[in-house]
Amino acid sequence: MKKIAVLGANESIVTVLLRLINAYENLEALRAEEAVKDYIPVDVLLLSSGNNPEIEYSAIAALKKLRPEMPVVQHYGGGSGLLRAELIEAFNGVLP
Amino acid sequence: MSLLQLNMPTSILHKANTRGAANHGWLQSFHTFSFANYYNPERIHFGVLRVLNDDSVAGGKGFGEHPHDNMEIISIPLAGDLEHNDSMGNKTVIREGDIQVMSAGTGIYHSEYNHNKDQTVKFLQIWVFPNKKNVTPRYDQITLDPAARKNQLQQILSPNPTDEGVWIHQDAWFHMGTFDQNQHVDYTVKKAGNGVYAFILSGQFRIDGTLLDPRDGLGLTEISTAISIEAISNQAEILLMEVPMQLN
Repeated sequence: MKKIAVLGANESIVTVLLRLINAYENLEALRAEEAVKDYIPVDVLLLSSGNNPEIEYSAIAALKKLRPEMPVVQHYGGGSGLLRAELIEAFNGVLP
Repeated sequence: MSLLQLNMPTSILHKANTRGAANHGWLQSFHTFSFANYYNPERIHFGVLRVLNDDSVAGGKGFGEHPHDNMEIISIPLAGDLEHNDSMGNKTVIREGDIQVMSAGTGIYHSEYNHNKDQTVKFLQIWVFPNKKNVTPRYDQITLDPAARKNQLQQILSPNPTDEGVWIHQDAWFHMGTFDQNQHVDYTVKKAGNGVYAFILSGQFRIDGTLLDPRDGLGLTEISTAISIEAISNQAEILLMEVPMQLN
């Protein structure tokens, strides 16, 4: 099971992204804040909209410390339209 | 290599029958670029043009409320009427001849339904990466004058709020035109370095020597001279999308 952390300031969009990611059989979504707080290494960090740049920077730094090779993916669109392609690209062309 | 070849732009052809397809019963959609369950690593985007969906929605059906963020979303009805509702309080109907734009920015919720129970609505859904993230969401729609595109290109979108058509947060210009057979027009890019993606709505065109049929797409980059556009059939309709080739 691969872990995807989601960071975003728009709560309703983050909720949608968590639900969409959890619908994939081999993916588990969690909030980036939770991953940082509990020192949980994640496989991908997905950046959604509205993030304070300082919060975004510190989340990336904290999670990279746990897993330096972790890809950071900027999510666009806010829903399912582009999400699958973004995840496939994060995993080098093959969705787990 | 001849001088002519040196001046030719680089091109990529997407034939209509090579697009991704999704049939959900109430929705039939063709995707020029990777979208939803369609993934083709060779077709992710053309510059900042990320989505070009050719949608048909059955009578009374539609897309329920769903969110978007950080994307410029343009809808162009080709037949029928689309009923729009959004979290900013807009409740409108867009019809053939209109163009709708949403800057999703920090987040917007909307729904789009076929306004008619007895008629399919056909429309293009186009997503463009914004040049600025987390903008304040906005919505706009206008009615275009079809006479202004007869045998010429009509600007329907630009980066400038005071210019013709709708505007978006990106250095992009869209034009539409309906041409009689053998009519010819040249298109010069507005901004050096931009690419142009041509999408044929109906009829046949020849663009810089490439013959295009309905729903074919042709992307041109490294454009140094005007693009030559010639209608090969009557009632030939085209959408030209000039976009930056570099993602911000």
